[in-house]
Amino acid sequence: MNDIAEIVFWMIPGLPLAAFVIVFIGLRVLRVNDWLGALLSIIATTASFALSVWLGIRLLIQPQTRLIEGFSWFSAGTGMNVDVGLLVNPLTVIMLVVVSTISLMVQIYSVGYMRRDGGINRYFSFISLFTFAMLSLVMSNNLLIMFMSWEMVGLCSYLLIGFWFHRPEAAKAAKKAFFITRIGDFGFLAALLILFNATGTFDIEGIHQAAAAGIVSATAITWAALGIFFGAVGKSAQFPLHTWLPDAMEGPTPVSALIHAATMVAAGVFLVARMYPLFEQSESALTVVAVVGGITALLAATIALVMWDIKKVLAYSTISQLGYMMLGIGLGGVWVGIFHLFTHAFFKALLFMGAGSVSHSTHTFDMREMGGLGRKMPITCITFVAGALSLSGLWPLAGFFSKEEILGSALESQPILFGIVLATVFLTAFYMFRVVFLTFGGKYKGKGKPHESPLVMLAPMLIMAVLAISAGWLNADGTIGSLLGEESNHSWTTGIFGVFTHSLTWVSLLLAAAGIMLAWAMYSKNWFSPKKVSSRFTSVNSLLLHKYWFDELYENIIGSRLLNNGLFRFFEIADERIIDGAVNGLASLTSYTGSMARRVQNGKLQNYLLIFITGVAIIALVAIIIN
Amino acid sequence: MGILSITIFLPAAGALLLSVLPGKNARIPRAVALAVTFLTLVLSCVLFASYDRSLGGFQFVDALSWIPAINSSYHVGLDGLSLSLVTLTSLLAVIAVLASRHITSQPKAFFAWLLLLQSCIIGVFSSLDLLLFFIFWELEVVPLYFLISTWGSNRKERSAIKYVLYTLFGSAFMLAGIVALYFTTGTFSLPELYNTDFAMLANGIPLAAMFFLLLAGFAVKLPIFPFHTWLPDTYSDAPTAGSIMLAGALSKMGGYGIARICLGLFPDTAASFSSLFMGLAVVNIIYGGAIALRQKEIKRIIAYSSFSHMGFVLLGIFSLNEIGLTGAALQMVSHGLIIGLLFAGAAILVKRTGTSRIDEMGGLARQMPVLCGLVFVAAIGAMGVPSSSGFVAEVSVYLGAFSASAEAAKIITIISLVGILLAASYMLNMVMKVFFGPVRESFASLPDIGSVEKLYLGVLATGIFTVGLYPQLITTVLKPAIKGLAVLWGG
Amino acid sequence: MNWMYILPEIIIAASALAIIIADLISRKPVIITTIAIVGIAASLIAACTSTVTFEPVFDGMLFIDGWSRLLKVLLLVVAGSVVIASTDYHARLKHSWAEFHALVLFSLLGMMLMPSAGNLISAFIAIEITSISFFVMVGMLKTPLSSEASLKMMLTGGIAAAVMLYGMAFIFGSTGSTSLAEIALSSQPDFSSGLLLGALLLLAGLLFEAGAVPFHMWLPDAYEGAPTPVTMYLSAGSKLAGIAVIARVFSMGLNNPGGLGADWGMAVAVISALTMTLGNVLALQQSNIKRLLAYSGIVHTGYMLIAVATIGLGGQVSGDEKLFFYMASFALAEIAVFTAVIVITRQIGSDRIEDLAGLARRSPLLFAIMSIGIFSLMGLPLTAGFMAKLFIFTSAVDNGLLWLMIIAVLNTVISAYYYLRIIRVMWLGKPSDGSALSLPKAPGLISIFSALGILLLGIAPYLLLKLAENIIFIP
Repeated sequence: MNDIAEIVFWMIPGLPLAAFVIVFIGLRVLRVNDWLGALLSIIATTASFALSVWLGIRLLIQPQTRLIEGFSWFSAGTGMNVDVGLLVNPLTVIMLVVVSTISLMVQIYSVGYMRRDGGINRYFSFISLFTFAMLSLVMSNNLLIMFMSWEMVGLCSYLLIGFWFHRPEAAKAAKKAFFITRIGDFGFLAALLILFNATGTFDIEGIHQAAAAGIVSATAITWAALGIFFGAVGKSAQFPLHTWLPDAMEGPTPVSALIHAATMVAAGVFLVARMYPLFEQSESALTVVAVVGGITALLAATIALVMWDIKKVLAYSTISQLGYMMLGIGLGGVWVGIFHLFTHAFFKALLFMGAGSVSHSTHTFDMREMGGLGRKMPITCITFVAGALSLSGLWPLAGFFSKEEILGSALESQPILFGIVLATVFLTAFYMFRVVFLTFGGKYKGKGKPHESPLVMLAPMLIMAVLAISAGWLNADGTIGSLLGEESNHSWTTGIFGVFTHSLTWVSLLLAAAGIMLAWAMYSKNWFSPKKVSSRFTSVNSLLLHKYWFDELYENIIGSRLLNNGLFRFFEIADERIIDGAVNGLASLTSYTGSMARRVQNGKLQNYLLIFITGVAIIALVAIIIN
Repeated sequence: MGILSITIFLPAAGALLLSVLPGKNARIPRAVALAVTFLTLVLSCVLFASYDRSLGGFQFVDALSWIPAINSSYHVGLDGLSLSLVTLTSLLAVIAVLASRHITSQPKAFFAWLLLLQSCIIGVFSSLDLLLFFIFWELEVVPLYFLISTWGSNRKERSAIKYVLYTLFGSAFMLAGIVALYFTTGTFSLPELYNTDFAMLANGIPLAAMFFLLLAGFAVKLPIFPFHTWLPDTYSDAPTAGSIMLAGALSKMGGYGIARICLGLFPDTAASFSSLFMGLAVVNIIYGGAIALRQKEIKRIIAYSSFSHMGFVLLGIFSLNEIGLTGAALQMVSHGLIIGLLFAGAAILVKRTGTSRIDEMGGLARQMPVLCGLVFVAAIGAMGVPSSSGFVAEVSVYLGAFSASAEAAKIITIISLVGILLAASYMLNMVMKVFFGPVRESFASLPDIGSVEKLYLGVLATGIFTVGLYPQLITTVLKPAIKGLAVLWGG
Repeated sequence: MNWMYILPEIIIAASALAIIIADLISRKPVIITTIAIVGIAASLIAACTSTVTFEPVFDGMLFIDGWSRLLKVLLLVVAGSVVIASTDYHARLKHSWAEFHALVLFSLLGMMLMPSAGNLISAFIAIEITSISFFVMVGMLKTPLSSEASLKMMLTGGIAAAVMLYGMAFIFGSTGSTSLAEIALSSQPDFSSGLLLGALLLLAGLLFEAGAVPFHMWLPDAYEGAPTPVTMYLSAGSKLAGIAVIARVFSMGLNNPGGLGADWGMAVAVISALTMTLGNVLALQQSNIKRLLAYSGIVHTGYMLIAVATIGLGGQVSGDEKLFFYMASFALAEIAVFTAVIVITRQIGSDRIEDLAGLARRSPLLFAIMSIGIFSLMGLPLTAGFMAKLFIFTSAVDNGLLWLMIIAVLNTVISAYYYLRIIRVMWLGKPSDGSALSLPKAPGLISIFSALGILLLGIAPYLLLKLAENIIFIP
């Protein structure tokens, strides 16, 4: 890559940023408010995309890491310098490709989806900013700049989730997303402090070298790693901070596609991958990553079983898949997690676009008001099913390959987690095909006449479908694995057909097929009614419908009772009554003393004389005592 | 008389001019005030630009023997720390004048007091003589008393007197400290005091006593918990210009005083009490933030948020190292811009909607997208979101505090991180309640802000981003001053 | 004998007699006033130009040194201001105009002699001349309030005189002399308990005149009941003379650093703390401007006593330039405020604070004068009052009285509350009657001059401080 001019690297995040500035400020000042903003955004992202893909191709030819020095941005004193620079290694390039592809597709799709909305400039400028933030997060060589981009990603998702701010739910969901991910940022920031304090630098390579050289104490490394992971837990919606992601569905659907596939939630996984050398030094931190990932995967999959909102199902599915990725990193290393992130990005974006396409014609997300759309929206249906199959992990679709790696890693090290992953495979296939059958099978139950979406929406979906099917083949000969530093590939992944030599493949395929069959039986053929099933397990059903009561726990019990109406209320009252009260009390005491003293000053002469004489007596007494 | 002295007294001269101006027209005093504050801003910018960064130290010095009997002189000068605050004050003064366009009752008096206030604040930042410092410090209560009690709202008279008594209470101790210091060293001159080795001077008054006496005044002004209860009342009842100057510029006098005097003169005492003050800083941050979250009135939310954010200043200062001190100084400038924008924006909201309760507002982003955007900029600044000035300031404070040598520094810093959660919580809550949600019938016809409002709110918003994206603008000026201070603790 | 030493006093005595004679010839008030002013002016010139000596004169009865000269000048200025300000009060004192002026001069004579006292006897006589004149002046309005005030003052004053005499007797018994110089000699290095008791009893008697707690009870009644010019005179004149005589008697006669000086110094310090605190607390509740100023005056007595205490603790002989600066700035503030109060109360017919409402609109000039005076009493920077307090505080800390200084500064905070209340009423209050108030020429002139003086001393205190120092310490 040495022959590539540095400017090319800077252009990748720079172009979307320029698009943001021009569209958000420039067009506003010029009062241009039509599709010019969208066009500029798309052009910028296309350029970034092209450059990223070019980098990706070069990477396949010759893997290499490149450090690009930038400029000194900020220095608070002698010891603290923040130098902006780029770190471009295979991990970076893979992420660049994912981010720019999804962003580009989403933007094109949005042209169709958002055409009836106002505020198009605002929308596209925010998407550009979002893309910029994610790209710079991926490319930064500096932990502080990464943190900044990380926060910018959070801010952009806030702005986009709350795009329809006049809807109270959207405003609330945006706030929730920002706030809950910020709880995670608490950990990231703490880790930043620990690492800077221990190493005196923000440079990622520098930190890794210092950690490897044993300059940083083992405790510090563990805490820092846990802090970073806690940050990722927030952003990547891991248990127990996963509650914001389903609510984030209040945003426009293309935004959901973007958030769920390539930006917001991927940031957390990427962060852990980027800081993996640190995690490597701490066995316990890696275990925590894997366990949290496993819990998340199963937990979210179970909730997805009962949701009626198509986007909510997809949202829980995302959480579950993110759990997979964390588990993969925790057990198998960077490449396992990132490979799944890579494939997941395509099929999840596709699924969201499909969901958007469906709602675009039915004006609802409630699957009980859909049905029979397969015939009315054939392309949407076909692409959606492709995505669903890929997500369920059916051979030879992309999801299959990446999931196998996770399963394999779990099998090797953690039997319990392996069980969880297997269960999740079954659940995933079931809930995805529940969606497919409810939406596209049977008869149409909603209002109006559904119709196929315009080409500008279908085209990205078709492209994504192709990727959702084929992306896994990239690793057929272990390319991605070796790029991301895996020396010994798992045997069952060599070649597209080589997988069948291992029994694990058969187990997982059988489980996925069983899930699909069950969904078919319940929701297409109605051999046994879902209602009956749910009435038989009322308590489980209600637990799932209430998402294990997490929201209630957080919002009502912790947020409201414990803090806002508990501790904070106590603070407020204490402030008014005790602290300010003490001040006011002092004031009233003074004036009370005044009125008491005034009683003596009552105009009666004998009083005056009495006091006078008393004063003299006291003075005389003092004089006698002194001597 | 040098350019600095002109900068200090120009607003006062403007006030004098206003007080002898005939006529009752509201426009002329406003124009005069605007011209004077603008000219002062230009002068401040000249000072800022012409400060020799490589030389450091106090520049633009004017010295004049004043009361030889007690060895006091008129001695002013600026280093990076004071220079950035002087510039901030001048900027906020212009904003305050612009934000006071609706003042129609006794406009002459209003603007005269405002200008006088500006002179006092600049004087505080520029004084190199402790007596002079105290005089400017104490004098500031008079204009504010009149501003709040006359042009304020709600229980304005009570708030005004509360403010004055609190301030005088603090400054009473401060005066005692200054006199004790004078008795110990025989001088009021700061540069001389910096070169005095206090440990060599044996006299009855312990250094810690002087340290705390001096600190009392600053503690009230900053404010440090538990000396803050004047703040919510005063900030929310003061007229807009008053709130802007109070929260934006005056509170910085507290932080500035601690750094310049308490730390500069008593480094060892400061070091031995640094844990205590870092602890108090965390109380400020969390306690203030928690109460802000409970508030229903927009100005009170902002007031408590200001209280909370001053905790960062305190935390940075008492980390006693270069990074933390730089962070504290950045936070002072940044907070000045943010709080100015918030108060100015809140004032417009309250005036237009006729209510100050956030749950009675709502959906205003539809009618006032520009105002919403600008206030949102302040909100992200207050939350410390990157690219805003709040981020660089708070992150530096955190980094400095975490590396501080105080005993519990690490734990304290980690606890203080909760502050970013609280800030996000109350700020987003405010933004959501005020701007988002369905449009209310009664506000349906409200117009967006006019071009003057756009101008001054926009300037502040630009400032927030400028400092956030290009902090070197300020840090290069700060560097020599902060370095000189940090050397006291060997760093 | 060199009569020139007491030329200023002689002129005043002569003017007083001239007034009585003139009253027999013509009852025109202009003539009376003119004689008084001319007499005071002549005396002022004499006081300024007279020679001073550090040796006691008239067989040790009087000191004519820098301290007494400074005080004479100050008291003459105050008396002159009272005379000028009272021209606005003519309507109420019509029938006793000459009597009033004669008494002003007689009491002035006593007051001028007070700081010059070189002997306990001469001090006592000077004090009594002053006191008796004031008893009469306070009751001059002949209203029940006024008469009652006079009676109370006279009775408590009688007791004070008795206590003072008793103390003098103890001192005489211990040292065998009433001359301050001789007392000073025989009280060193040891002193008997009788001498200490005597000194403290004498102090009690003298503190009555200055109005210190707990000998202050007469003061609010007298201030409220007396004609306002008399109140002004009591506050800016006799109070200062009382403090000055304490400084004189104790610094010359009983000063013995480390021994007696430390004892009475500490006693004064304690009394000072009590005085300012109690005065402040009581002032919080007042609704009458004259009564409020009475309590404010008590508070200022407390501040001045700090300086007196430092004289004792520091073993300083013959007065203190910082104390003088305080007295001068206090006098200026009282002149400004009281002159304005005289003018205002005559026109609004009330001396309640509420009735000052809207003064800022009715007369911006009077408001400005009142504000400057009040800010000076409050001790805000750029007024003489701030510098005065600052100087006193520095000498307090110099003499190990940090605790007293902290009490003092905290008291300034309490006092801000009631001072600001007056300002608030004048600035914000809605006037019941919106008509403009006028400021007559003569009182206007002195109030404006004193207000300007306050600002001048606030900005350039060195002018007066250096002068006082030179006069006191350089022969």
